[in-house]
Amino acid sequence: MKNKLKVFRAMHDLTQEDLAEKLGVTRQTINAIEKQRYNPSLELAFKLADFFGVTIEELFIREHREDLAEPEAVQ
Amino acid sequence: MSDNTNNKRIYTIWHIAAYVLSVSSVLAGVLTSNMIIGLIGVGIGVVILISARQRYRVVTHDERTLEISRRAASAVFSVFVIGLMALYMLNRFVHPFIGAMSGAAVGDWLGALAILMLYCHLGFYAYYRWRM
Repeated sequence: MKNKLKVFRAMHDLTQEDLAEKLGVTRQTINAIEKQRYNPSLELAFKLADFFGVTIEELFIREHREDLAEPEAVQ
Repeated sequence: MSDNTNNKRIYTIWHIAAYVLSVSSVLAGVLTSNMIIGLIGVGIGVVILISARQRYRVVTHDERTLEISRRAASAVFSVFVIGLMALYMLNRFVHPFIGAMSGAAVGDWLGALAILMLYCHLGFYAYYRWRM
């Protein structure tokens, strides 16, 4: 899953270490999320979005939406 | 340098000191055939680790490390289940070696397997940490 964490972090002039400390996670976790090697839990995703004052959709971008089946219309 | 980075550095020094103390005391205990030396060293090492973590308030574990640990444990479980089943089949159908072993030898092998399991976990943990 793509994300704009690095962009928002730069906009707030924070290092990975600073952000990790504020969210109570390790610096490696922030690095792994930025490099898209790790998808955070919903709780951490909400924490990140709240911290930057944006919605989760603004921070994280789903790449493949075609795998989602269209819900069938209720007759 | 931020306070957090500084704290992390001091914590790492204490962490390494605790490990060096524990390992060397266990080695000294083995060499002198005195279990007490090893136990005391490990005890002091644990106290150092706990107090360092409380004093410097360093985050060392979070959801990602838990996930890495879970995957490593799962991989170790698979390896050992398959390995033990292979040993059982070998013993049952090819060459019965367990029955020929003395009780002490079986105990030694079980102890060695437990240590191997820990090393296996360390290996998988390092692999998944690198991957994730």
